[in-house]
Amino acid sequence: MPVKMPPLLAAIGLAFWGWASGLLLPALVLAVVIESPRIAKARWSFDAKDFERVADLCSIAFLVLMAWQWFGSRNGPAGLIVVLTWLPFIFIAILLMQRFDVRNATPLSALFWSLRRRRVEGVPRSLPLDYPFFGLCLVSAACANQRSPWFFGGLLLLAGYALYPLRAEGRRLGVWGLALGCALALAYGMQVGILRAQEQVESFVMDYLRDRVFGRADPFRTHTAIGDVGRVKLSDRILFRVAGAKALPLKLRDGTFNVYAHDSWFAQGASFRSVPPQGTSSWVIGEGDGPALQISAWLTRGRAMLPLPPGVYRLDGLNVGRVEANAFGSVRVSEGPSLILFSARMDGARERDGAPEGADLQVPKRLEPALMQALAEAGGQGQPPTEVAANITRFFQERFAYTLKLQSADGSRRTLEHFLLDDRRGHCEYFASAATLLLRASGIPARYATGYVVEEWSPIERQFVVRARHAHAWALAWIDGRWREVDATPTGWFAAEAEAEPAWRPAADLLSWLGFSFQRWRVSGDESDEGFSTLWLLAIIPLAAWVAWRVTRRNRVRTASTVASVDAVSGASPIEPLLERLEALGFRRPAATAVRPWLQSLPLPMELQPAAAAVAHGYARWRFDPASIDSSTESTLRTQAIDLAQKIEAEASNTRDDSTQRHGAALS
Amino acid sequence: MDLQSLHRRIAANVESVVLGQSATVRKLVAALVSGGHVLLEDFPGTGKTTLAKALARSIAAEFKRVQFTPDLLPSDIVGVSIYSPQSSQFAFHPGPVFTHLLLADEINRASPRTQSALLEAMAEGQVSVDGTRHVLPELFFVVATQNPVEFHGTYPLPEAQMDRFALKLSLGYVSAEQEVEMLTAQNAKHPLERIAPVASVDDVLAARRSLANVRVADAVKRYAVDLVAATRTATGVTLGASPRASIALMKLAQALAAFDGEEFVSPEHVQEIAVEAIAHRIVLERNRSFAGASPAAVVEEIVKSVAVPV
Repeated sequence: MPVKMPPLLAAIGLAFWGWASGLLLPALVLAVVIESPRIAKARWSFDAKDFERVADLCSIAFLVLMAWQWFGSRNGPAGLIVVLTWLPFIFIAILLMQRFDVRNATPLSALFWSLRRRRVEGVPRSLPLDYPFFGLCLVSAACANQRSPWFFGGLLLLAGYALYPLRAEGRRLGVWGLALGCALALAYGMQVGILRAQEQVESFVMDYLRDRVFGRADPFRTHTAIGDVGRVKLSDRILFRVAGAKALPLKLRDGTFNVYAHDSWFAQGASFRSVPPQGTSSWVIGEGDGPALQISAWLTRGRAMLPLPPGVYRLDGLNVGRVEANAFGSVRVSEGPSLILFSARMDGARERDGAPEGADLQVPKRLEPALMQALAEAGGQGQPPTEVAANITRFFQERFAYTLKLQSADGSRRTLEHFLLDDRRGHCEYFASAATLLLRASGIPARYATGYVVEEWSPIERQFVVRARHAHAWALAWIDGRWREVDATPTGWFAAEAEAEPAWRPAADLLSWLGFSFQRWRVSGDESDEGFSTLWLLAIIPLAAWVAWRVTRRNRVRTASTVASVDAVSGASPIEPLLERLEALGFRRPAATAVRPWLQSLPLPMELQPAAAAVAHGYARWRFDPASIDSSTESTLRTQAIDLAQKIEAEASNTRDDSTQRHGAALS
Repeated sequence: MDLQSLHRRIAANVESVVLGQSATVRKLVAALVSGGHVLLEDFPGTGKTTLAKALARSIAAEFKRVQFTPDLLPSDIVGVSIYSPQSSQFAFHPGPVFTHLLLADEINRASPRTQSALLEAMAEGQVSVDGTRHVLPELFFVVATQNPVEFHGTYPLPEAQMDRFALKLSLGYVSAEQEVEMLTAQNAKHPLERIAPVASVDDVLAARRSLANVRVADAVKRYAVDLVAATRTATGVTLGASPRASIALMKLAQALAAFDGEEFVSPEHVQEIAVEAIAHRIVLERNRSFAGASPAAVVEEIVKSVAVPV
């Protein structure tokens, strides 16, 4: 069937590609060349081999260009996109050759190596390359990545033009147009979806790198996102689970830092010392008396900075090899399982962190003017420290806004000064850093704390969950001999983080909980956990039912096939005794001779031959026409066969006894 | 009329003319009722044409004979459209192929083109002339003859076309007694002129339809397939028999079983017809042919070696 094709298809494709990739002039020249056979009458008769050679040449050119772009040019892997943009230019040779061929079709063997191996006699299967080439032009045009609405509009028009001759006959044009429109709308939706999916994957990878590779596990340094431009997005992954929390919001701290430099906070002079174990799994950090909080956390390679509530003095049920704490109240565990479950006892009345030092009052010289200006705006100088802290908090709450979309005027890196004086929008790291430094500038020792906010209650798990995006930072101020939390971040931040929550989150949470439950069961070896064992049963019952069904079904099949095979061979043949008797007498049937003619051809005495013929015929019916035979016929056959066998036996012994040659000749 | 009595009548009629060939006649009638065509290959004068004619006379059917010659054209067989000045139209003049029984005498003397025209008609049951389809009668039975000794001026049938024949039969020389009898019979009047039809076209067609009632057990089908498949792996064979051979073998065996008055096929029926139904479809290696091996001997060997179902 000849392929119906709209006129000038390849040329239009080329022109679109030229427009999209900015190579309009060369593309137009190529288009003219491609369509020149409409005027030029010269044609060649290329054979399949010629096409194959040109196709190979094009492929080699393509590979060489790829290699050159990857290794030889400055573009690196990104250069591959450049090569993709040049695709029509590379492969136009095949189409050109086809155009000047007498058949105006390209043998398929030029495109597929598999077709070259087995050459078939006669005319090779071939195809006009116009449609594939048109597709190639569209792909390359897309690779040019011109993000204008004209591109999609052009694509719509071109798709309509290319597909119009191929539409189903007898359908109204409107229906076809509607279908095309739907397809294109779907395509648009899909590409938006792919874009979204890519964003998700990117953020996941970033999270992963943050958590696993760079990690928050460094107790001596935390790099803030101050200075970064663009949208900050943290994942919904559940990191911790907390039960037994009374007062909300509760902050779990996993790091405290005292020195700020180059957008990072450092913990200087906070070396870790081992916490002595008490019993097998209890660790005592200090004295105290207070309620307990159950926390479960994932460890990476058995290590983590523990997120702990303020005033923690004792950890119970913590099955790790080593617990260390530093003067800033950070606790590090190592040599642990992948999941730890422990209860932390806290006593809000006692201060466990070390008293302030000189470093807790230092501010970077560069930031001093900005800090002073902001402090003047905040007001309340010379008042008691509690008032100063309240003023600073109010200053941020009232005049600043929380955002995860960070912009800078000229696209350069943002600075803390810019945040303090001009932009006044940022995320918790800005607020915590600025508040810490402002506290110090007003003479109050302060530290920068990182951790998580416990606020989300999970109805499935019946405990609090802490997600990666609940990560937070705040300031600690030394007021009245205690380190107090000063959270300057505007209160709306928790809701802002929860925005743009994906639709699949409940499912992801459920999966996360199943994984957690399994791991908890594995780590604790505690099978009395009811919730989990019910769930386990729910999973196991269908599985067991399925396995049982499979097993019984297989048994049934085996029984059926056994029955069938018995039916086919029908167990013992009714003439088996006869055959055995005959074999004992030295008559053995050759494998390639059928039973009936063999029985009839036996050298039997005349009087036995009718019986033999009857048995032979009965056997043939029993064996090859079982439908026509019933059990009584079969038993008759059996009797006949035994009867015949006995007669033959008797005849043979007679012959032996008589020692006459009369029957012996017949039976030997 | 059932298959058994149809066979009896036709066989009796034909054997009154062609003496001492009852086994061959049985197979020929089997081909007639199973819907296959027959190639008779034997030396000149052994009675090929007489056999075909006797069969034709035994059935009240239209009979035509074409003597194949090198200058015979396809239109001489299938027919030709001729312009009629009276009606100012082309009128189709059917060729000899539009008949019930066709004797294609010395088929290997005509050019391959003409042979193909006949073989196409045999395979399709129809001919196309000037783009118009003309359907052949429902009963269309071809008996082709060829001479195995004379090769000058012949075009041997290609292997692919040999496959179109269900059977290749040879008559062979009869015994001296029968030849004497033959002379006696010929003395007065040619026996061919004495015989009268014993069956009608409808009888044959009804017999063809009733062939499907003859049951074939799976084991027997498997045996037939095993025989055919063995030709594909046998040593010295370049081209084995096709599944078409298996189908022909089964149908012919059904006919033979019905001739014996049985309602089912047994392996011995398959064995009886195996050589004639398979041998002409296989091609031996060149050096094996020169060494004197024949396809028939190869198939006989296979029949003797493949185990029958018990």
